[in-house]
Amino acid sequence: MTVALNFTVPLKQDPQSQEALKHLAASFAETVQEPIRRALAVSRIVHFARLVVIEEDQRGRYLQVLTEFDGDPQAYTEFFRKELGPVFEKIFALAEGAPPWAELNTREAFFEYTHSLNLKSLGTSTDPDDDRGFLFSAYGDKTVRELAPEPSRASGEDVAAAAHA
Amino acid sequence: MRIDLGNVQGLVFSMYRRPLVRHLLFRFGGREEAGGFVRRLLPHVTMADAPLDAAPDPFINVGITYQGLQALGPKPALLEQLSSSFREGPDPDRLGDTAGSQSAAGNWWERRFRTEDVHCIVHLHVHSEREREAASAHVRGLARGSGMTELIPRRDRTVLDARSLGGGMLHFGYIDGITHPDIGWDDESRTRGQIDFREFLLGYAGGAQNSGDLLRDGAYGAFRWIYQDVATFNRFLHSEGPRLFPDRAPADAEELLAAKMMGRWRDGTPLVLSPDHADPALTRSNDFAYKDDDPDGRRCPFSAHIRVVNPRDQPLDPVVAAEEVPLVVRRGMPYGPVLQGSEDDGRDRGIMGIFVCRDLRRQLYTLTGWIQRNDFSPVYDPNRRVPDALVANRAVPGAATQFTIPGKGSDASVTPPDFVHTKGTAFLLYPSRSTLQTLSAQA
Repeated sequence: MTVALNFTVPLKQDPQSQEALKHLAASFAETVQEPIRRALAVSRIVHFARLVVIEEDQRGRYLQVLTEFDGDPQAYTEFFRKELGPVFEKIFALAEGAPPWAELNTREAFFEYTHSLNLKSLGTSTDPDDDRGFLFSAYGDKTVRELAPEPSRASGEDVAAAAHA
Repeated sequence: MRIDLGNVQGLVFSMYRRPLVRHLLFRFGGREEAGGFVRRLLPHVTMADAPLDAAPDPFINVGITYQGLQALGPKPALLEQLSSSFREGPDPDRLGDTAGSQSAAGNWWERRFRTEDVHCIVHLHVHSEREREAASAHVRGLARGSGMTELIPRRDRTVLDARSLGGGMLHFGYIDGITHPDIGWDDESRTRGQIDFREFLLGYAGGAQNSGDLLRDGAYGAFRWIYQDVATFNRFLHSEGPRLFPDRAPADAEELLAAKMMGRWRDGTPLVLSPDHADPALTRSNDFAYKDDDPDGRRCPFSAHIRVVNPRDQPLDPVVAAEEVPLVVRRGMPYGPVLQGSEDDGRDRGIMGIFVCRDLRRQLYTLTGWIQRNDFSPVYDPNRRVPDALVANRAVPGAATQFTIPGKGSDASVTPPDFVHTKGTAFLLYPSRSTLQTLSAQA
């Protein structure tokens, strides 16, 4: 079943952190976008993912990680903790109230913290056991593996790259 | 670091060599009486330091459900340390016990009570029926004196008794119990290849968040009561074996089909090591792998049971590899009489098993998910939701009906019916001695 996560990270408001946020946003495409894209492609479970900064009065208030993927949220977060640890370390350094990375960087702690940041979508899920709210999908519970059984040329290279990493 | 075996329940640590097991299910009464029961039972609970061959019967272990722990009324800190999967109880969808199928949770316990009514299960492992009755009388006496209600899970008023069929055999004729995780219980003497005890014991892993040790040396267990439809299984082998393997004598063809579904011949010989016949020299062998020895599944089909629940060195999808292959400790025993003849006799038979682990989600649910849908490795067809050949519930929405058997020329396929269904499941905590003491003192 496709799962949507709406991680919403409250951002520190001190000038240094705000400056670091601006730098992250400005350099995103050149620095972290490619590692993120590669990890997403290799995972073979992520349908969509994006990062958004919510601003108010020209200050970054929240950073959102919005994603739709197949399967188990804990398996998902564990994969990305391992694949993109340095990226999350950078993001959570800007987060208000985040534990230090050394403390966060375990399977259990990372999952507990990231899911404490998740906002429930409005409405009810079609699955009565799922309390994440309403998610529309035009293709039912089809998985990435089913929708794109052959990895794209780019992601095929990514898989090969990951295998040699 | 070495585990204090006197603090760990014996069932977590060892497979008892006792041919009879009785599982007594109870619902607690009042909080203080429940604590009194735990206090009085505790001196009789078998811990891992018991001399397993020399110790007298019975071996007694106790698992407590989340509802049971709530009834005991411990400090909130203890309940907060329990995992969400345990607190939420068995999720039928994740176990493959789909609504509308025979395995649906509404049918569990022969509809006599709800899973939430189960507060604890006391397991009695013994050598003889006389010992079993004596131990039952003792435990029931303690329970009665503590205001507890025994839950009788069968309409015919019998309780859950399991009995070895001899030689590790299960009702489908397979030898079981060949592969178990080799656990290193001592950091200093753990050898390469042994699994860290932290995979199975609570209170050690996870850094600061789990540093509180109210649950330390305990483990979770999933108690599963699984019916096995032996007549249907035998009929399937009889009709489909000779069709699939016409070059063989009918009896040999049946045996080969049975082996293709399990991944081992019924005597235990791995197909990867001996694809054409059982080999008495290999019946206990675990020295095999898939990646190089059987990359195309021509020896052991990709959806054979042992290849699904233990993929060994088979390539895994990246997300699966990040979580590592889940392992559980299995404590199972067949129940019910051996089927005589080829027609179903209407008797209840199958296996009662306890799957011990530290993380029900990562270890148990991952495996039950793979059983329902083989999607954890690039070797599986992404266009079909292929289940385990032997133990899947094919009523799961979208499940492929065909079992593919790769062959030298072309693949063969067959459409198996369901051979098993679930009759009950409870998630249990097997608390350590010190946690049991805490629970009884707090009540």
